[in-house]
Amino acid sequence: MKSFSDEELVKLTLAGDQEAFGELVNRYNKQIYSLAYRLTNNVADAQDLGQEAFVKIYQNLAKYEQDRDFFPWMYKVATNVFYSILRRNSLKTVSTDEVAELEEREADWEMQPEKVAEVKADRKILEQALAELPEKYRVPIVLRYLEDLSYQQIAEIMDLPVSTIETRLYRAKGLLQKIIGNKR
Amino acid sequence: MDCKAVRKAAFFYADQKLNDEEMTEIRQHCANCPSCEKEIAEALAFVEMLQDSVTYLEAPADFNKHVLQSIAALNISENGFGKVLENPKKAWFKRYGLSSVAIVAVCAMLLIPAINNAQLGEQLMPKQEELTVEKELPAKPETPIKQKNSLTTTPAIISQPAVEGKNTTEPAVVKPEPEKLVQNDAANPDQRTTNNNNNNTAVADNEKPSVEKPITDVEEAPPMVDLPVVKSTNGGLLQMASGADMEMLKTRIVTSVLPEDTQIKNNQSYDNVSPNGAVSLEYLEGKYALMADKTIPLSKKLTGEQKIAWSLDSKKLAFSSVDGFLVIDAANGNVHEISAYGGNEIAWSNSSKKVAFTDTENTLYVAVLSTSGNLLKVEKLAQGVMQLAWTADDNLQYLSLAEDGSSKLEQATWQ
Repeated sequence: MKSFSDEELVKLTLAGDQEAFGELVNRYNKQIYSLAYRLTNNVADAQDLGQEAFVKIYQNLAKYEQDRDFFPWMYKVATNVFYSILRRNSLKTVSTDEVAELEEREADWEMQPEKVAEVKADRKILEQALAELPEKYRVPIVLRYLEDLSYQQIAEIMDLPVSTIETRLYRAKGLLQKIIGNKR
Repeated sequence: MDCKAVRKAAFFYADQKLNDEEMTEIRQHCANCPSCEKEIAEALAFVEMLQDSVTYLEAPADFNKHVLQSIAALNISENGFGKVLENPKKAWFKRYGLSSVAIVAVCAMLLIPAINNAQLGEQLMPKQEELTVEKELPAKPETPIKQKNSLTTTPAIISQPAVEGKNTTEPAVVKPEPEKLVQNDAANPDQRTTNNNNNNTAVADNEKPSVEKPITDVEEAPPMVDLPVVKSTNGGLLQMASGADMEMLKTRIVTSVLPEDTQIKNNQSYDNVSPNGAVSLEYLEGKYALMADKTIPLSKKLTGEQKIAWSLDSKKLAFSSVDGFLVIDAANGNVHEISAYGGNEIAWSNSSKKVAFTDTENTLYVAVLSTSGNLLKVEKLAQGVMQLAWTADDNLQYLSLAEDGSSKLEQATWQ
């Protein structure tokens, strides 16, 4: 199985070979799990999300166009699953007041950039800060720095214009600095 | 470039997203501006920290196992609606409420004439043609066999299943005698059970397997990859096909009457997430809402056991239940009431401007919609409609079932 290309494994899976899909899971569990973890900052949630993503990928394999690379397609399906779940959960866990406060802080930061504290945070603080970012800022940051995706690729995955991605990354950076500043 | 512009661009500088000219300008500015230089240094340190921190992690040891268990559970689950798309035939069975048993029965019926024609001689043919689905499944009243007899009435060209069931052989001609078909009787109770898809050479008239046997065999080994299934109906002709290249039975039936190069993609999405992934229909706090970047409440509360289908352009979502047929505008959540009837099949045209649907009585309607989902007109087209598909040029084809059990492939026409 290891010698097969992703695309060959998809064909085998569609023909009923469960082992072939097992190899795809083996090949990309790190990417999918890491993405889920970076978006949730929680091992149990990341496991659930990662699992859900692979199930969705499996269910949608018939829609995969086999003349295209498998990885970007798979990554997009996974990201969509994460969006859907995060959006649903964010309604429950983050009140609108909290989001409004973050937006306010963001606006405040934009007005007075010179007041931004020098940011040096250890990894743990950064991870916590990332987890606190609203999903619309967290996702592009994670895609950018986990997968090293270009702004264009992130825009395609999120179905948003590149300019929106730029704005979100820019604001995400400001918000992160603010949150980290508050934690220190 | 002034200080404000440099500070604004610091992050993109650090993220290497500026062009050479802008990078040079910033460097030149910083050479003479210590505060901006500090700003850039901070931005570089920040991006570096992100790059160092947001890294891959090893998945937990049992992650793969859990994933594969979920998928195994999914494959054996009978719940869900059109969820298992990796297996088109299985999805088809679920979507159209046919159990594998019913399909086996249909295949059995279609096989028997071919088998017997080859091996038992033409004298057996009249007896074979009297068989029906209903007789195949006397003890399974709970199985929703909506399509009783739907594929049984016009045998003319039937091919033998290939050895190993992988490829369809050239069709063997069998006597077309559709007018002799009658509803089942008890004449040859044993003959009706002699389907065994890969064992046609073993069938002889002194072998009389039990009623359950072929059904049980197949249930043990879903999803019947090797079973020959109906490939097409075309002007009263039936063909058999089998093998891994089979698409949904439905699609095969409909595409068969079209020119060879015509494609009908059965790409209807029954997911709650739109095909482009931007919007999803979610059930939150006791009611449905659309979720995009933000929650989009619906203008009308949706009720009933529903079937949903996104238009291919992801702009509209059809919501069909016994309470009626609705179309939701994905942009603003406006719910457009299209018809008081619904609850069964849904098929969006490729242009996403028309949607065909059937109600629980299998009556076919077609609605023509504006871009935002407003109803322009709706027409009741036919009754007894079992399967729908749109051609690439937006013609609607459907398989209809008459009261005598005969089925016919038709193309819808409307003003």
